[in-house]
Amino acid sequence: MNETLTESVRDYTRAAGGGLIIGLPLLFTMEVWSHGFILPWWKLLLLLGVAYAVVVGYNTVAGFRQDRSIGELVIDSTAALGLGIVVAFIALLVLGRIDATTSLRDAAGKVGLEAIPIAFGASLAQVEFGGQQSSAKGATGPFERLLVGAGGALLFALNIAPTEEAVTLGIAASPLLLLLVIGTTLAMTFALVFLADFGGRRRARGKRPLEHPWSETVTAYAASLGVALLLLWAVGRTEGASVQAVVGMTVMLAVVASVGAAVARLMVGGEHEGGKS
Amino acid sequence: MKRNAVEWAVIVVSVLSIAVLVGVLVIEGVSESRPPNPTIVMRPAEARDGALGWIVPVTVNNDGDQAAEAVVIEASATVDGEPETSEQEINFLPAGSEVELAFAFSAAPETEVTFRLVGYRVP
Repeated sequence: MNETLTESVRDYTRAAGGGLIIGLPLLFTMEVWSHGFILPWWKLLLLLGVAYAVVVGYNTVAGFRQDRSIGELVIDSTAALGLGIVVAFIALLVLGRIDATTSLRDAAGKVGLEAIPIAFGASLAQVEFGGQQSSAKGATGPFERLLVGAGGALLFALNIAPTEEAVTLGIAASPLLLLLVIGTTLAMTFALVFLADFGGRRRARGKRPLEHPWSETVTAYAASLGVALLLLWAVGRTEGASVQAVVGMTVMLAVVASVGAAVARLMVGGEHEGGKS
Repeated sequence: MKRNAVEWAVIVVSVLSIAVLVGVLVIEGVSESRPPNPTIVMRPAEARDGALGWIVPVTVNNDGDQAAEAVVIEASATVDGEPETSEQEINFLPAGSEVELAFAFSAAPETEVTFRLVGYRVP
């Protein structure tokens, strides 16, 4: 009995630690603090909902624990989000971003936004660095890989989307430069996943159309573009912006997003691999 | 799978924190209507003679329900028979939150210090 208690404490400490590792850059980003009270309340709720869905999706594919029912999946995902909220609140208190003069709405906005990357980090820490590896579930299909890729894209792009730099790069780029960026991004992610061979994690190629290296690269890039656009909209960058500006910002942010998608796809491995040992 | 006390505690705290966060956002959100309205309160007891002039600390509050960006406030008073102004900008003024500022004049003003909102940006 005592042993399982110790194990649980260790599990949640690791989850909180993983959350901090992923969340720290955004905890130290001024734009996120201000977005906490500038963004309308329904947008914050929508973002939290999307984040929760991503955590559930990630736990479904990668497996928080091996032997779990749907109910346990929901409970584990809720714990990840709850942990994110608690850690975000404590961190913002310690950093002096929330004090007695902060209004309730302001504090809720900041905590809500900062909780998202921390919740991602928490579930990532549980799945990737937990003791119980889901060894029985080594094979991931192309759609699962795409979903995990989108999660990785979200995780990486989240750090960049609130900053001014994404806007500056996107607005300053000419259409020709953007085409060059698209080509470079595709070549880079293709090389990362299929040529660089990080730790031999990715070797096998399946027979389904989506499993061809180029089709996977292109679909993952499309998902990254979607994630980039969603994030830019979420932080209010698309409001009043011209179509060209939105396209520019999306393509620039998708560079970061697609690297995240590539790393995530590397981590879950290929169809015929015997798990992620 | 059986859950132990630690897991139950984490689950209860998680559900509570999510409920509080969502609740605050919804309640504050549904009532959100008034535009930004910066107000100012002087703290005369803390006014003092500084090395570079007379310092007048104030607290600025946003009485509205929406945040304001780049809030510029101007203070004016008569010093040694001449009108003098001091201007301060606040990067972000969230709804209901306080920001502390200090205006300064070349010497202690003879008249009451008056404040004026120069403008702000709607985020």
